[in-house]
Amino acid sequence: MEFLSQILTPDDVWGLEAWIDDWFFVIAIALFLIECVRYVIKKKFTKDFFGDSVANFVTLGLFILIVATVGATYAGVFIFTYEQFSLVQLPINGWTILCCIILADLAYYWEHRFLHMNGFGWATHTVHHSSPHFNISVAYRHGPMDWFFPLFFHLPLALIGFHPFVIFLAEIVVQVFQTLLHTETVKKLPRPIEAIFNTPSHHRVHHATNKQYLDKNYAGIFIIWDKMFGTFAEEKEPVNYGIYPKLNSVNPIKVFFSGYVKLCQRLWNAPSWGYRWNLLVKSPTWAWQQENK
Amino acid sequence: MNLFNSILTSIVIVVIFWACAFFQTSIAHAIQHKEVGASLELSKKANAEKVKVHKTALDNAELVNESITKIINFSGIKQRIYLEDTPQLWQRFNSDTKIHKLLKQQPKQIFVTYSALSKDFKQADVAIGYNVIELSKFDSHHTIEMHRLKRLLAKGKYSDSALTDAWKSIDYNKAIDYVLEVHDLSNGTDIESTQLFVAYK
Repeated sequence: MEFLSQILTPDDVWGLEAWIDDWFFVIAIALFLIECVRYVIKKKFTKDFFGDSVANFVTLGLFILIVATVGATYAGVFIFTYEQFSLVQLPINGWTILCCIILADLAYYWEHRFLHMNGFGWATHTVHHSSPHFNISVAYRHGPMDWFFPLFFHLPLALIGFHPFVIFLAEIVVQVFQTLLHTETVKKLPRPIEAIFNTPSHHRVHHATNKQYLDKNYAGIFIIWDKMFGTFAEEKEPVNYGIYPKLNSVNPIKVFFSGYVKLCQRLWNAPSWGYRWNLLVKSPTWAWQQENK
Repeated sequence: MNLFNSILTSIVIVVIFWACAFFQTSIAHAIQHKEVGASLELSKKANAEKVKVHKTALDNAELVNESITKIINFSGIKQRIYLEDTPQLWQRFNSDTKIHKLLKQQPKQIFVTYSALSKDFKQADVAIGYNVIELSKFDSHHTIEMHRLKRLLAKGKYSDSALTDAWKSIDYNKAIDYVLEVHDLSNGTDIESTQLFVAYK
């Protein structure tokens, strides 16, 4: 365990993060191709599946363009906060990285729950959920403001002394772990794993439109957060993927901006200012219920 | 669990894992001291055995137990100097407010290494610093591998001339990697005791 105590420089951490980021994408693409072969064999490789997958990667490209524009500012906010306001500055080593991953995963749980609980957050996160399919490419289906909300939930980690590069590494680890969950290929994993970790089964539930599965399983790596905080649901009946109302489009531009277009339409057509306020702060389920009264 | 309790529980979890990350330095420090203490104790025994057999000045050098592979990283200042200028480098280290501001707690030890010794043994790269686990951050660090050290002076209070004399115990027939001084501090400032080691290439 001595290697966990070995002091690392910020550059070591940055290098590790870049390495994971780059190589994992290659692995994810390989896994996606295997999934495609599986769908071909099962005769489920449809024109819609193909169009949807292409749209997913185009949204990823658009998201990367936005991140390239705001990334330096995002990192700058973390570095400034860490250098000026951090309570302490924790040493950079394996133990600190492990603690940071656990806390970044907890931060992710709350960020994810937040995105599902209000109209403004949902407008960007709905993009990720709007696919009627469930495969690795869906993990890369991003909304335009997906970079924005993590800032507020992860910045406290810099305040309590985690180096920004350690936080970014932890965020990447949480993201990478979740990418692998977007698959129908893996049914159920051994019980101890299903009990502690987020799994493809748990994450299918999260992407479901089935009534009993709505707003469940927000976890990133550890499903124990959902079990502790009462937002867990077990996969029992087959899952229907997507959102209400259905998007019915594989146009990547329409997909990418669909959430905010829908929110703006709702705000424009709202009967009152109070209703507009509720559209922003109440859950998307509330808006859906109002429209179906 | 309702939302309020969930948030409260989350705060408790954050405090627990933050404390783990924060106090790991103290835990590691405690373990490190214990291990170094144990290694020195073992080396003391080894030395006693050697004195019985050889009874030479060189035999006073104690072999640190080679099975212990503890690594110590320290960070501070480093400069290539004439050895006679070492007091000035100490002065520079003591007045270096930047490094002292980075101390998280009262330092327990100061490490000094003399490496890349010139052929006439008049010049060396001299590094003086604190264990990195006592620092909140650092730019670069030097690594000491405990298992490579051969002890020249046991823990004790020595005059400058006694420290200089101890260098005579070094086997100059072997290639020297570095000479290490470990100064134990009391009150974070005063040198309480010193140990001297040599690491051969």
